[in-house]
Amino acid sequence: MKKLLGITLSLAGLLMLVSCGGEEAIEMPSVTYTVTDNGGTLALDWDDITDAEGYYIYADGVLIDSTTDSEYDATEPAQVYGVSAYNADDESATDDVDCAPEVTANVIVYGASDPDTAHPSGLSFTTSGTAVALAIGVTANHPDLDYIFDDRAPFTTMTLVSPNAYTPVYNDEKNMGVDAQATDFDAVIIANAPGVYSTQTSLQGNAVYALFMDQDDDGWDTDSDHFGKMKVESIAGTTVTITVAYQTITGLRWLVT
Amino acid sequence: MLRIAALLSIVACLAVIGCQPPEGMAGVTKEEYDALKTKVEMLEADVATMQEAMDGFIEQYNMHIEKYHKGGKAVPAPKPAEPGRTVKPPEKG
Repeated sequence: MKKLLGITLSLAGLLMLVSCGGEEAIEMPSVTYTVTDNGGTLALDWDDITDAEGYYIYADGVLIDSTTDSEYDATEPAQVYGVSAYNADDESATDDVDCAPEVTANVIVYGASDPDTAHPSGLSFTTSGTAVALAIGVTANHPDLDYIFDDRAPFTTMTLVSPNAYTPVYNDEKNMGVDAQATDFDAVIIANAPGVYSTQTSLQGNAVYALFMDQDDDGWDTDSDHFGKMKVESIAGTTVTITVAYQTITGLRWLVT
Repeated sequence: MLRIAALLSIVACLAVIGCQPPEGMAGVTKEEYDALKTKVEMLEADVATMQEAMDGFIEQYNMHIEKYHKGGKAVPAPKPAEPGRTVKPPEKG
């Protein structure tokens, strides 16, 4: 009886060891990216994963494609792109690239003709992409100005003006805008390609504008350029209410909000 | 009889004296009186208009005092002028 009990316990222990061992989970790819195609494409790249039969591509959590290569050109704008490795038995977790722009809602700025010093006419984006209004009358603010809302002569309407569009300049950045031909902020998921922007953009209420910040004034590149979009909610006298989105990935035109 | 005649004469004299206009009123015709009355009425209207204007002015003054000189709120100064800063022609990009 004791012998039978010993054999039974040994078999049970062996079964436990076999079942707990399992297969080793497939490794998650480590994704890097570059921005290409004038900001329209996010080129994803990763090292090969041992035992991987291929890789799944997810956009905003939805499986959109698979590949056996270790690179993928993402051309459909999304907030998050993810890549996982898979084989017959397993799939790794996804390594995600966050492409969501930073949104700042209901920022109030004032046309430069407004005499009140407490009413800022400049717009600036922080390094994290948050939009803040800055007074253009304060010289210390001039290096940080990204746009000026100007309704002084020679402008006859509220106009979005680049800091370098003046003599003397507020700063050397060439930041431009263009009418995105939309009234729905979320409907604009990618900014216009370079070539159609202007350093002076006439504004009207209930309209969306694409922003191209060619900060070093050397055409599109990925070293310091940023894209964004701006919804002019309203213009009442010199008061302009805007909602803006700022893409923190340099050179990328995607603006999915 | 003589006494009655004397009393009647006295009454007549008193009546004549009592019917005389007060001093200063002599020579004022109805037309002159009406013209003067019209002028007075016009002056009264002018005073009412001035009073109305004065009330409005006082109201505005009180609003100014309330807005800018009470509660520590400063009067906003105009933005610094930017002499010499001009706008270049727009550039594409």
